[in-house]
Amino acid sequence: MNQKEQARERPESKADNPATTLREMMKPTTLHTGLLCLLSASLISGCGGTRENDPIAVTEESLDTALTNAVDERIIVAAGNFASAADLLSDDIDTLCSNPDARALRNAQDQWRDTYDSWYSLLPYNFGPLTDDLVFPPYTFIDSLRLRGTEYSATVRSTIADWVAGEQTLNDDFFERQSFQFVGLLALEVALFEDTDGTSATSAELDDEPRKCQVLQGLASRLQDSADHVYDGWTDDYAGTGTPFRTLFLNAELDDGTEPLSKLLTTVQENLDYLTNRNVITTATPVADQTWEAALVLVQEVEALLEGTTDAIPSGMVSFFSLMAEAGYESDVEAVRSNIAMAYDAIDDQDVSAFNAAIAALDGNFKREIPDGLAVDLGINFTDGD
Amino acid sequence: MTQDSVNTARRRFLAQASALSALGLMPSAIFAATADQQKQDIWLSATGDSAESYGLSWYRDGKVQSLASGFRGHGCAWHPAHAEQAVLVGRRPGRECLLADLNTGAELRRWQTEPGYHLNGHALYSADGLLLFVAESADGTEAGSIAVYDAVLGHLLTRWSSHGTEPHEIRLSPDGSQLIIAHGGLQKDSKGQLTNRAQMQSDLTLLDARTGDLVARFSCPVATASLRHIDVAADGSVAIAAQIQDERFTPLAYLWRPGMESLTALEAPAALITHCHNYMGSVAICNASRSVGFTSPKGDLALFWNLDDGSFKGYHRFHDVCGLTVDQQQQTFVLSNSSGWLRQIRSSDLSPLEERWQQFDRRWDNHLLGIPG
Repeated sequence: MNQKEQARERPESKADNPATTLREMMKPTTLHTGLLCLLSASLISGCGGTRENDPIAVTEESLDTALTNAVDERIIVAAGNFASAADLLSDDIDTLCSNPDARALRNAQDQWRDTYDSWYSLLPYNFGPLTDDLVFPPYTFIDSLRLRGTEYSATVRSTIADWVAGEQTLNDDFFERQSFQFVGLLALEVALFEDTDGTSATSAELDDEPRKCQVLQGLASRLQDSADHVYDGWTDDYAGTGTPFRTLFLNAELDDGTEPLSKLLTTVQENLDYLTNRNVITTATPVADQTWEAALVLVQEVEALLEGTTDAIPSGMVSFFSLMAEAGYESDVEAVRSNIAMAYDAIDDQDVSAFNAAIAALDGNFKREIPDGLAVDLGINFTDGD
Repeated sequence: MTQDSVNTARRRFLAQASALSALGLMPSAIFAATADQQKQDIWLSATGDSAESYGLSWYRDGKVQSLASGFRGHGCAWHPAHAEQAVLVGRRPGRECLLADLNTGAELRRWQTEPGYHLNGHALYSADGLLLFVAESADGTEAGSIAVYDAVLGHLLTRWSSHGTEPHEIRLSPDGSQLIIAHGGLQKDSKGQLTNRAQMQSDLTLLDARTGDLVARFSCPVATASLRHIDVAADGSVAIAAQIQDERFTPLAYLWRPGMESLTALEAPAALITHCHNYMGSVAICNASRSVGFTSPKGDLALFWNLDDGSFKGYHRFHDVCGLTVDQQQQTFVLSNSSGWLRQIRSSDLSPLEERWQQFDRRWDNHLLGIPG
């Protein structure tokens, strides 16, 4: 059973804490261990190597190990979970459409929430297969808000109503041709949580309007394709190269020449920046109201990335925090942990201002303390232009 | 002291140049350059990331030479008559400039701004090489001025108002008669925080290069766009790179042509513009291919447009790319980054010339200036 198949196994209860569910889904597998054994000796050519005066040396090898651990234990698992969630969503919508009733509708809606949350576990890693086409980035076909913070629910709502009322053939080809804002999680949210008149969704509409089901099934299939594209890109074939992005990434063979750890840290930082600058908490999921749960998953993901999944990885493996601490940056590690704790508190209190403040502080950590602690060069033009 | 001083400096320089030439002492690069030498390129840039490593570095014939500056430079200016001379200008809000001899690697002169003024990173020689125009701002207010230096003796001749706030890059019109200035419009506090976002006044300003008189001024249609970097085509078209000071989605590249009443935005697919994170760092025009390129280090991306019809040509992904120039043969765009790479791509179709990509042990800072070797 591969990671994706493992993650596809439905959690016992969808009411479980999503983070707990994710942690359960991220247990190491034989495949993980095998992948870890394939570590190359030196993958990060530009990350600094051993530094003088450090209390304990941080070597290129240990940074390589931490990065490989992050890829195998966090990123690929997140991609697998998202693909599995999208797969289950598609299944649930099929079930709903085959026999529409309130329970099946609730199940599909719950699965949409799980899928949305699992997207927020992957969102910090918005590079590689998610951006393998810069003009039509795959991530925009999953999350239209992410492109530039524009919330498209009004136009999505009217477009879906037109589709339902129209006569065009609603097949895979139709949904493949749609612009990014009309597919993905938002379109599914509107279609699943609302009837076409904008009122709260009912299973009755699905009985009365077979085309509504065709819309739901088409959107779910399109999302599943997008999710599979990301997972397959990481693990099998990146952008038609025949090589998994995992290999290209860990071998520092990115097409823009960015060092892998720089790419990882800057991408996580950019997504933290996005959360606050686009005020995602108050903007996203206008119908389903899922942003706090998703924010929790995202912060947990960032924390796990830095801390390492200590309960899941073999002993002796390293995390970014452990390397920072070994290199003498313990106070910086504690500062980052403090900001993560602030974010958790803000989520508990559902305090938007406090959340944005905590995320902004964490964003700053990814620009300064974490790269400094790991001797990662983000680029002087990137960090300090004029 | 204004125009008279400028004229005096011109006369003095011409007399000096004439005497040196008669004695056979004029730099050989002016009068004795061979066709082969003229085909060579020099690409120069501020380099370094610490007081110990800051300097001016220049690539020539496969090698890189450097001169330590002790301060972080930003842009460079090349002397059109003394081909071996170039100025490294201190990065905003620096106060120091350095004149280097690119043949010997020697420091010829260094100087500081007048008290009460700071540099904005860019300077430019007049077409005849007699004057050096330096973009400066008044401390505190950022009121812009163009400090006009005697390029031979190095002293300040006069100071013109730039007719705007925070003049950044300056260029000459193709006939040398006008100074073209990108006013960034930013006011920042001592911590570097922007203090005038709501009142920003960024524009493209044209001044008479002989008198400093205002010729024209063109505002950017986006209020929070800071126009900072420009290049001028042989036909007088000006390409302008913007940095947006808020989170709105808006074009980052603009064009102005002589006779136009306003700036025209260069459009590109939304995802690419978004990828640039509201930041363009450099701009360069290739006259031969009628192409213009812009770099975004925050997006690890360079974007290119057709200069004539404004159509989008394509992009090149390059980590931390900022420096951008065109080779002397007008065949390639040359791009630099802080990892020490110099890349070339064909200006005609943007295809990579990987056989010419080289990495050096230098951290190329923001801008790259191409000059004939």
